[in-house]
Amino acid sequence: MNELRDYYRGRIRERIAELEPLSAELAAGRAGDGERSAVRQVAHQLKGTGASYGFPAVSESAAVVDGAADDDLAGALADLLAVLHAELAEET
Amino acid sequence: MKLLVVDDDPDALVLARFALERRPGCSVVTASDAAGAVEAMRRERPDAVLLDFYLGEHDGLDVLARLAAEDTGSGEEDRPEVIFLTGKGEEVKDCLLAAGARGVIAKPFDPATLAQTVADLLGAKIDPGRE
Repeated sequence: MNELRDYYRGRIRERIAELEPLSAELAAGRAGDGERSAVRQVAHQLKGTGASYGFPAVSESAAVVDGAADDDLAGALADLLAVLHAELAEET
Repeated sequence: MKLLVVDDDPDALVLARFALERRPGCSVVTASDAAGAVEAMRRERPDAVLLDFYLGEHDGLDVLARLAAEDTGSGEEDRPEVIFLTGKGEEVKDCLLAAGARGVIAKPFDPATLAQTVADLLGAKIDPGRE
């Protein structure tokens, strides 16, 4: 299982790199349907795999983003990014 | 037992392959979209299909219908069973079973028990392999 956790930690880094620019767009009020859809797609995938790889907090936080209304999306994504960063920090 | 796993999330495919292929006698082929699933079913003739409910622009019922329409070349009884993987769980379970799915596995799934869960749904014997 350790090899799976190591693999997923690498994927968390990649997901952060995908999500941070989208988070900035959302926070600045510049995000459109495409950006919101991209955020929800990544969150949906993280929801479906995080706990399986041993990161239940990732699944829980991603589920909030996946189900968030447009007005709540920026806040939920900021929370998810905090969880992703915390998971990486915990392992180092 | 050969299983076709269909999911548009590469991390889900990595996990499913790891969880299933550690069981002796289990082999996994994968596809990441509906067209790939149909192609893999023709080419690989799997015993069963594990199908993510949300597959890009297609939902699972669309893909299930496409797979069911495929000519397996060996009759209805040899058509692979379809088991859905979904985060929706109980919300959609009855609908998927009524549409012809053999079972529904909730995501996120436990990789330690996935192979046994699949075997139980298929009524198949499976080597416990490495724990």
